[in-house]
Amino acid sequence: MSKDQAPPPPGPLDRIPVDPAERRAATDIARSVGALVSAGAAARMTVDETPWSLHTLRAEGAARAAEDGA
Amino acid sequence: MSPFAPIPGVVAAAEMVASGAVSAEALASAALARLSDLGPRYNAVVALDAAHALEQARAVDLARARGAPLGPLAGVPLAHKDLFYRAGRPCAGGSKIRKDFVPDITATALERLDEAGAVDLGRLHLAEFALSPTGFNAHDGHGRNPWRLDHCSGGSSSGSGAAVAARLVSGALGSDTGGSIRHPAAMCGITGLKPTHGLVPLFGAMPLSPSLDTLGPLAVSVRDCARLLGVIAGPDPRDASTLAAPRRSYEAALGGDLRGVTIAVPQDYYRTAATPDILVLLDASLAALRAAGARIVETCVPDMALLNAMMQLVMGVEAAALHRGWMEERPQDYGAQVRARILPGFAYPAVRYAEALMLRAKLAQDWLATAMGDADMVHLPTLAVPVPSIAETTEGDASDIAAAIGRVTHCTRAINYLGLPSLSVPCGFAGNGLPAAFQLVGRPFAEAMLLKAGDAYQRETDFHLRLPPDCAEA
Repeated sequence: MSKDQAPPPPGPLDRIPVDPAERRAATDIARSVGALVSAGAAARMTVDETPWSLHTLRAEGAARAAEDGA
Repeated sequence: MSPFAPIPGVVAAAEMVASGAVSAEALASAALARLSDLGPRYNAVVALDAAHALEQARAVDLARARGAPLGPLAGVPLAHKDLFYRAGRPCAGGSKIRKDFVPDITATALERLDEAGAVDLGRLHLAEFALSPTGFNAHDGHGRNPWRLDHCSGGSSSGSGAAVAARLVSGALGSDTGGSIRHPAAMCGITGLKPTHGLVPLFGAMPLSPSLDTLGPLAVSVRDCARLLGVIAGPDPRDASTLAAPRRSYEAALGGDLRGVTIAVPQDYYRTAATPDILVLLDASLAALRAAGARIVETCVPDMALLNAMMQLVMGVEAAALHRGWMEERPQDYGAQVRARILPGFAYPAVRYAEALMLRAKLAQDWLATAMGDADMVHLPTLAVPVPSIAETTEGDASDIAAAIGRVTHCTRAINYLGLPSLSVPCGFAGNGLPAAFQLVGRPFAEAMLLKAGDAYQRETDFHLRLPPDCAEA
């Protein structure tokens, strides 16, 4: 079997029984939401971005709350 | 106490039991009677656990009779959204799939309520797998609003909202992944607190999207919420996200005026979506906060479409991961709305998910800098439109239904992505006669500040004390 004849790789919804309309609706949502996230990330993500994690931001907030509550 | 009288709020009930004005057993019996009589009207109850509740209540009465110290919730009758695990008791999570599930662990939040002396009356209605902002449940029926039965109760903590509003219980716990505490609180005219992500341990609560899930109280007043939060908040080694969480008395922060407190009011996105009747109520609430001493400043917000997309993607992917097995094997056992909300989660590339999580702290900083600036909190509508009818959110064209549901989550869902605390406070009645509410959003772990402001507002207003029609007596 040539490369052109090979079946496409399984799609993300292939193991879940869905009708064509459901599949189309789900992939449409994923495409539009994913595009927004992709564009937002492309404009903002840098290798040296910090903080990487919401845990860090929370830790800062916890320290501030401890000072306020003291 | 008449078995049919409205059940007092959290703090009032605790004081009545502590003083001996009523026994915990009598209060629990009265609440059980109201839940049995009025609960079905609102479709608020999944199952009562009378034997367990009365056993807890009698233990409180015995402790009091012996002169033993009582916990801060001794004898307070509560019931909770049916996603909090209690070992040996069924927990269906609003689903058909888990209707026979019996956990062998107890949620940290329930353990802490037990230690504080609270009485757990049973399990309350929720949207299927906590996945509807309106209270819709294809298997168990709709949650119904005590103010008007053909209108949404709000979800997904629908039974918690309705049961507290109708005074069937003193308070309740809910969960909030995109607004599920704040929606029913706002729609039913009560107070609800979505805590900072990582303040209240998630251990033993059915997850929907662990990066976004939070657990918190729904109660009559801000003071009631502060009492409940003080009990359930704090570090838990079984939930590492809570290890930085402070433990404190939130009630101690209440009292006094709001001099020195600055409240920011974004003029775009939230207010531009508000209907004229809601805007009038929001402005009146700002006037009351200003009269209490707060300084009000105008701000704006960053790109909310991006934040909403980030939230939708994170929730979709995490829900898809949790539900994959059942979605493959039992897809027919999901309601159509719930299937439709989970399915896109399977189709996002892994890189998109990583981007959404990696940018979360930066985007939270940006939102705080833009929407709040140097202020202490942000004032937003909880729901920018009047409470919708059940028909508006379930019948007719699919795009109309989606739009109606989107209006419900317009003001709430991004706050979960940002991980910030938010207090929803009732502020009057919209043009259709149903409750309206504002929310106060703060920096991480600023719950005490939000509660102080909400309490100051409630000392000048009585919207939170209003009773829905036909529930004063059963």
